[in-house]
Amino acid sequence: MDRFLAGMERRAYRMAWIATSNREDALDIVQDAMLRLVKGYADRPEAEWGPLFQRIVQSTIHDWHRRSRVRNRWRQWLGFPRGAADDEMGGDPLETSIASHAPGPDGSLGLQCAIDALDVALHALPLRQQQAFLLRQWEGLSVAETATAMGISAGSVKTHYSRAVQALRDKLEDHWP
Amino acid sequence: MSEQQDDFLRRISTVLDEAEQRIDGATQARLGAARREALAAAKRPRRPVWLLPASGLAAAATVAVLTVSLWQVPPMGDSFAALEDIALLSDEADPEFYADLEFYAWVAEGAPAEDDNG
Repeated sequence: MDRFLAGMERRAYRMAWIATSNREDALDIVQDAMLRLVKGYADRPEAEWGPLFQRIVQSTIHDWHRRSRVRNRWRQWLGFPRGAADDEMGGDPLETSIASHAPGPDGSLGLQCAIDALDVALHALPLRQQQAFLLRQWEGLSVAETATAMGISAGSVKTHYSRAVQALRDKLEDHWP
Repeated sequence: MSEQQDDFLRRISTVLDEAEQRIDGATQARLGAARREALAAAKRPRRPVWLLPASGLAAAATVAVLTVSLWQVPPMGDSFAALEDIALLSDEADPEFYADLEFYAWVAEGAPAEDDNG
Protein backbone atom coordinates (compact mmCIF):
# COMPACT_ATOMS: atom_id res chain seq x y z
CA MET A 1 0.00 0.00 0.00
CA ASP A 2 2.84 2.39 0.84
CA ARG A 3 4.40 1.89 -2.58
CA PHE A 4 1.05 2.27 -4.30
CA LEU A 5 0.28 5.56 -2.55
CA ALA A 6 3.80 6.87 -3.18
CA GLY A 7 3.16 6.36 -6.87
CA MET A 8 -0.18 8.15 -6.80
CA GLU A 9 0.30 11.01 -4.37
CA ARG A 10 1.94 13.60 -6.60
CA ARG A 11 -0.63 13.37 -9.36
CA ALA A 12 -3.45 13.41 -6.83
CA TYR A 13 -1.90 16.50 -5.26
CA ARG A 14 -1.72 18.24 -8.62
CA MET A 15 -5.40 17.50 -9.27
CA ALA A 16 -6.34 18.79 -5.85
CA TRP A 17 -4.14 21.85 -6.30
CA ILE A 18 -5.79 22.67 -9.64
CA ALA A 19 -9.22 22.36 -8.00
CA THR A 20 -8.41 24.41 -4.92
CA SER A 21 -5.49 26.70 -5.85
CA ASN A 22 -4.45 26.23 -2.24
CA ARG A 23 -1.51 24.10 -1.13
CA GLU A 24 -2.80 23.29 2.34
CA ASP A 25 -6.25 22.36 1.10
CA ALA A 26 -4.73 20.20 -1.63
CA LEU A 27 -2.52 18.41 0.88
CA ASP A 28 -5.50 17.87 3.17
CA ILE A 29 -7.49 16.38 0.31
CA VAL A 30 -4.72 13.95 -0.59
CA GLN A 31 -4.18 12.90 3.02
CA ASP A 32 -7.90 12.43 3.56
CA ALA A 33 -8.16 10.34 0.40
CA MET A 34 -5.19 8.21 1.44
CA LEU A 35 -6.71 7.66 4.85
CA ARG A 36 -10.07 6.63 3.41
CA LEU A 37 -8.43 4.21 1.01
CA VAL A 38 -6.21 2.62 3.65
CA LYS A 39 -8.97 2.37 6.25
CA GLY A 40 -11.68 1.18 3.93
CA TYR A 41 -10.08 -0.78 1.15
CA ALA A 42 -6.59 -1.98 2.09
CA ASP A 43 -7.82 -5.56 2.16
CA ARG A 44 -9.16 -5.37 -1.40
CA PRO A 45 -7.09 -6.76 -4.30
CA GLU A 46 -4.30 -4.43 -5.33
CA ALA A 47 -5.71 -4.14 -8.84
CA GLU A 48 -8.74 -2.35 -7.39
CA TRP A 49 -6.77 0.27 -5.49
CA GLY A 50 -6.22 2.54 -8.50
CA PRO A 51 -9.90 2.98 -9.46
CA LEU A 52 -10.89 3.19 -5.79
CA PHE A 53 -8.30 5.86 -5.06
CA GLN A 54 -9.40 7.88 -8.09
CA ARG A 55 -13.00 7.68 -6.93
CA ILE A 56 -12.08 8.75 -3.42
CA VAL A 57 -9.87 11.63 -4.57
CA GLN A 58 -12.56 13.00 -6.89
CA SER A 59 -15.21 12.59 -4.21
CA THR A 60 -13.02 14.39 -1.67
CA ILE A 61 -12.37 17.24 -4.10
CA HIS A 62 -16.11 17.46 -4.74
CA ASP A 63 -16.80 17.60 -1.00
CA TRP A 64 -14.19 20.36 -0.63
CA HIS A 65 -15.88 22.30 -3.41
CA ARG A 66 -19.29 22.04 -1.74
CA ARG A 67 -17.86 23.12 1.59
CA SER A 68 -16.14 26.03 -0.07
CA ARG A 69 -19.37 27.19 -1.69
CA VAL A 70 -21.28 27.02 1.59
CA ARG A 71 -18.43 28.76 3.43
CA ASN A 72 -18.39 31.59 0.90
CA ARG A 73 -22.14 32.03 1.30
CA TRP A 74 -21.78 32.23 5.06
CA ARG A 75 -18.97 34.71 4.71
CA GLN A 76 -21.16 36.87 2.52
CA TRP A 77 -24.04 36.64 4.97
CA LEU A 78 -21.77 37.60 7.81
CA GLY A 79 -20.26 40.47 5.87
CA PHE A 80 -16.81 39.03 5.21
CA PRO A 81 -15.19 39.29 1.79
CA ARG A 82 -15.23 36.16 -0.34
CA GLY A 83 -12.28 33.89 0.28
CA ALA A 84 -11.41 32.67 -3.18
CA ALA A 85 -8.33 34.40 -4.51
CA ASP A 86 -9.63 34.68 -8.05
CA ASP A 87 -12.54 36.71 -6.78
CA GLU A 88 -10.10 39.22 -5.41
CA MET A 89 -7.76 39.44 -8.38
CA GLY A 90 -8.21 42.29 -10.77
CA GLY A 91 -8.50 41.65 -14.50
CA ASP A 92 -8.21 38.34 -16.32
CA PRO A 93 -6.28 35.83 -14.15
CA LEU A 94 -4.89 34.12 -17.25
CA GLU A 95 -3.54 37.37 -18.70
CA THR A 96 -2.14 38.28 -15.29
CA SER A 97 -0.38 34.92 -15.03
CA ILE A 98 1.16 35.16 -18.48
CA ALA A 99 2.19 38.77 -17.99
CA SER A 100 4.11 37.79 -14.85
CA HIS A 101 6.57 35.71 -16.94
CA ALA A 102 9.26 37.28 -19.06
CA PRO A 103 9.60 35.88 -22.60
CA GLY A 104 12.72 33.87 -23.43
CA PRO A 105 15.47 35.02 -25.81
CA ASP A 106 13.49 33.73 -28.78
CA GLY A 107 10.38 35.55 -27.63
CA SER A 108 8.61 32.36 -26.58
CA LEU A 109 7.08 31.91 -23.17
CA GLY A 110 8.78 29.32 -21.00
CA LEU A 111 7.53 26.05 -19.61
CA GLN A 112 6.77 27.51 -16.19
CA CYS A 113 4.58 30.10 -17.85
CA ALA A 114 2.76 27.33 -19.72
CA ILE A 115 2.24 25.44 -16.45
CA ASP A 116 0.91 28.51 -14.67
CA ALA A 117 -1.37 29.47 -17.56
CA LEU A 118 -2.72 25.94 -17.77
CA ASP A 119 -3.34 25.85 -14.02
CA VAL A 120 -5.29 29.09 -14.22
CA ALA A 121 -7.32 27.92 -17.21
CA LEU A 122 -8.10 24.55 -15.62
CA HIS A 123 -9.00 26.13 -12.28
CA ALA A 124 -11.44 28.44 -14.05
CA LEU A 125 -13.39 25.49 -15.46
CA PRO A 126 -16.49 24.27 -13.62
CA LEU A 127 -15.38 21.48 -11.29
CA ARG A 128 -17.05 18.65 -13.22
CA GLN A 129 -15.46 19.77 -16.49
CA GLN A 130 -12.10 20.05 -14.77
CA GLN A 131 -12.37 16.55 -13.30
CA ALA A 132 -13.60 14.95 -16.52
CA PHE A 133 -10.82 16.57 -18.51
CA LEU A 134 -8.01 15.60 -16.15
CA LEU A 135 -9.19 12.03 -15.75
CA ARG A 136 -9.70 11.48 -19.47
CA GLN A 137 -6.82 13.42 -20.89
CA TRP A 138 -4.16 13.18 -18.19
CA GLU A 139 -4.95 9.97 -16.38
CA GLY A 140 -5.98 8.31 -19.65
CA LEU A 141 -9.13 6.80 -18.19
CA SER A 142 -11.89 5.60 -20.51
CA VAL A 143 -15.28 7.27 -20.49
CA ALA A 144 -16.65 4.43 -18.35
CA GLU A 145 -13.74 4.58 -15.90
CA THR A 146 -14.09 8.35 -15.64
CA ALA A 147 -17.82 7.99 -15.02
CA THR A 148 -17.10 5.56 -12.19
CA ALA A 149 -14.45 7.84 -10.66
CA MET A 150 -16.78 10.83 -10.78
CA GLY A 151 -19.95 8.97 -9.87
CA ILE A 152 -21.84 10.29 -12.91
CA SER A 153 -23.11 8.83 -16.19
CA ALA A 154 -20.96 8.20 -19.24
CA GLY A 155 -23.03 10.70 -21.20
CA SER A 156 -22.32 13.40 -18.62
CA VAL A 157 -18.61 12.63 -18.81
CA LYS A 158 -18.66 13.13 -22.58
CA THR A 159 -20.49 16.42 -22.23
CA HIS A 160 -18.20 17.75 -19.50
CA TYR A 161 -15.09 16.66 -21.36
CA SER A 162 -16.18 18.19 -24.63
CA ARG A 163 -17.03 21.51 -23.00
CA ALA A 164 -13.73 21.51 -21.14
CA VAL A 165 -11.72 20.96 -24.32
CA GLN A 166 -13.57 23.77 -26.06
CA ALA A 167 -13.09 26.14 -23.13
CA LEU A 168 -9.37 25.36 -22.89
CA ARG A 169 -8.87 25.84 -26.63
CA ASP A 170 -10.65 29.18 -26.44
CA LYS A 171 -8.47 30.30 -23.56
CA LEU A 172 -5.09 28.81 -24.32
CA GLU A 173 -4.64 28.34 -28.03
CA ASP A 174 -3.67 31.96 -28.56
CA HIS A 175 -0.88 31.46 -26.05
CA TRP A 176 0.12 28.04 -27.38
CA PRO A 177 0.27 28.54 -31.15
CA MET B 1 -11.05 15.10 -33.62
CA SER B 2 -8.76 17.32 -35.70
CA GLU B 3 -5.00 16.94 -35.83
CA GLN B 4 -4.69 20.45 -34.43
CA GLN B 5 -6.82 19.52 -31.44
CA ASP B 6 -4.86 16.30 -30.91
CA ASP B 7 -1.66 18.31 -30.84
CA PHE B 8 -3.15 20.81 -28.42
CA LEU B 9 -4.29 18.05 -26.06
CA ARG B 10 -0.90 16.28 -26.22
CA ARG B 11 0.76 19.55 -25.29
CA ILE B 12 -1.53 19.90 -22.30
CA SER B 13 -0.66 16.39 -21.12
CA THR B 14 3.04 17.14 -21.50
CA VAL B 15 2.72 20.34 -19.48
CA LEU B 16 0.75 18.51 -16.77
CA ASP B 17 3.44 15.80 -16.61
CA GLU B 18 6.12 18.45 -16.32
CA ALA B 19 4.22 20.25 -13.56
CA GLU B 20 4.01 16.99 -11.62
CA GLN B 21 7.77 16.58 -11.87
CA ARG B 22 8.29 20.15 -10.65
CA ILE B 23 6.46 19.76 -7.34
CA ASP B 24 8.80 21.32 -4.81
CA GLY B 25 10.71 19.30 -2.25
CA ALA B 26 8.83 20.69 0.74
CA THR B 27 5.49 19.67 -0.75
CA GLN B 28 6.82 16.23 -1.63
CA ALA B 29 7.98 15.84 1.95
CA ARG B 30 4.51 16.83 3.18
CA LEU B 31 2.95 14.27 0.85
CA GLY B 32 5.25 11.58 2.20
CA ALA B 33 4.37 12.54 5.77
CA ALA B 34 0.67 12.49 4.90
CA ARG B 35 1.07 9.00 3.46
CA ARG B 36 2.86 7.71 6.54
CA GLU B 37 0.25 9.30 8.77
CA ALA B 38 -2.57 7.68 6.79
CA LEU B 39 -0.90 4.28 6.99
CA ALA B 40 -0.29 4.69 10.72
CA ALA B 41 -3.82 5.92 11.44
CA ALA B 42 -5.28 2.88 9.77
CA LYS B 43 -3.57 0.70 12.38
CA ARG B 44 -5.15 2.55 15.30
CA PRO B 45 -8.30 1.11 16.85
CA ARG B 46 -11.59 2.17 15.27
CA ARG B 47 -14.13 4.38 17.07
CA PRO B 48 -16.50 2.35 19.26
CA VAL B 49 -19.79 1.50 17.58
CA TRP B 50 -21.82 3.17 20.33
CA LEU B 51 -20.31 6.56 19.34
CA LEU B 52 -21.53 6.40 15.74
CA PRO B 53 -25.00 7.92 16.37
CA ALA B 54 -23.28 11.06 17.70
CA SER B 55 -22.33 12.25 14.23
CA GLY B 56 -25.92 11.76 13.05
CA LEU B 57 -27.25 13.79 15.97
CA ALA B 58 -24.71 16.54 15.31
CA ALA B 59 -25.78 16.68 11.66
CA ALA B 60 -29.44 16.91 12.60
CA ALA B 61 -28.69 19.65 15.13
CA THR B 62 -26.72 21.62 12.56
CA VAL B 63 -29.52 21.50 10.01
CA ALA B 64 -32.08 22.45 12.69
CA VAL B 65 -30.03 25.48 13.77
CA LEU B 66 -29.60 26.59 10.16
CA THR B 67 -33.29 26.16 9.43
CA VAL B 68 -34.31 28.27 12.42
CA SER B 69 -31.68 30.90 11.54
CA LEU B 70 -32.90 31.17 7.97
CA TRP B 71 -36.50 31.40 9.14
CA GLN B 72 -35.85 34.14 11.64
CA VAL B 73 -33.34 36.31 9.76
CA PRO B 74 -34.24 37.63 6.30
CA PRO B 75 -31.42 36.64 3.91
CA MET B 76 -29.30 39.43 2.48
CA GLY B 77 -28.73 37.57 -0.77
CA ASP B 78 -31.23 35.58 -2.79
CA SER B 79 -33.35 33.09 -0.94
CA PHE B 80 -32.61 30.32 -3.44
CA ALA B 81 -28.98 30.33 -2.39
CA ALA B 82 -30.01 29.84 1.22
CA LEU B 83 -32.31 26.99 0.30
CA GLU B 84 -29.52 25.40 -1.70
CA ASP B 85 -27.34 25.48 1.41
CA ILE B 86 -30.01 23.59 3.29
CA ALA B 87 -30.17 21.06 0.48
CA LEU B 88 -26.42 20.66 0.56
CA LEU B 89 -26.37 20.34 4.32
CA SER B 90 -29.09 17.72 4.36
CA ASP B 91 -27.36 15.64 1.65
CA GLU B 92 -26.53 12.23 3.05
CA ALA B 93 -23.46 11.89 0.82
CA ASP B 94 -21.14 13.64 3.27
CA PRO B 95 -22.23 13.10 6.89
CA GLU B 96 -18.80 13.90 8.36
CA PHE B 97 -19.02 17.43 7.04
CA TYR B 98 -22.27 18.19 8.78
CA ALA B 99 -20.80 17.15 12.08
CA ASP B 100 -18.13 19.81 11.67
CA LEU B 101 -19.59 22.27 14.14
CA GLU B 102 -16.16 23.79 14.81
CA PHE B 103 -16.23 25.10 11.28
CA TYR B 104 -19.32 27.20 11.94
CA ALA B 105 -17.82 28.53 15.13
CA TRP B 106 -14.75 29.46 13.12
CA VAL B 107 -16.88 31.34 10.60
CA ALA B 108 -18.84 33.12 13.32
CA GLU B 109 -15.62 34.28 14.96
CA GLY B 110 -14.47 35.92 11.74
CA ALA B 111 -12.21 33.70 9.75
CA PRO B 112 -9.16 35.23 8.08
CA ALA B 113 -8.96 35.37 4.29
CA GLU B 114 -7.81 32.15 2.68
CA ASP B 115 -4.15 31.62 1.97
CA ASP B 116 -3.55 30.95 -1.69
CA ASN B 117 0.09 30.01 -1.74
CA GLY B 118 0.97 27.63 -4.55
